[in-house]
Amino acid sequence: MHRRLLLSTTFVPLLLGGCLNVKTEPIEVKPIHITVDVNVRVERALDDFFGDLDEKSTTIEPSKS
Amino acid sequence: MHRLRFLTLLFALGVVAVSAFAAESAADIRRRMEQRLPVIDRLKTAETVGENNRGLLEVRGAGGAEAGAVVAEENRDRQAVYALIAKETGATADSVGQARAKQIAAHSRGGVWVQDASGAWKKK
Repeated sequence: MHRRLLLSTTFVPLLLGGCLNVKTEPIEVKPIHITVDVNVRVERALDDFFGDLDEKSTTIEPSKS
Repeated sequence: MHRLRFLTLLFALGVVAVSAFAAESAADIRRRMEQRLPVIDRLKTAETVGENNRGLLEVRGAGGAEAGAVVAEENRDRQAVYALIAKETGATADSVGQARAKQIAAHSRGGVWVQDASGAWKKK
């Protein structure tokens, strides 16, 4: 009886502790994705505005993209 | 009901007017920058001005009054463009300027002064 009680008091908290970690991963991925998306949009907007000017400049080589 | 329609129409006209004004001012800025470009190129080639790490021009050493005035005008227009792009993309104007500085540093031809992210100046 004592042995069963000892086993359950040892393993039940471990099992419950193991279940607590499940939903944390997606939370970290999303902001990184959004940051990359904003950076890409900024690069594209800069290319749209300055692309023609850079081509006319004698001190800047136009980007190949 | 009529009042609601009138207000909706007024709001729509306002949006159109603001968009038209923004488009016109971006085109105006580009035109001014294009007209100024030969002078900026000359000053950069002469090593009188350099490109800093915030996407703006800086007078290096004794640049003279002409360089100071042109740099001030160019920087005012660049900051306006960065603010427009920031509004469009959800970024900050500072981060847009830094992104532009990286583009300029990567693509500048030899002999142009550029400032790296740490603040150090070097000639390309």
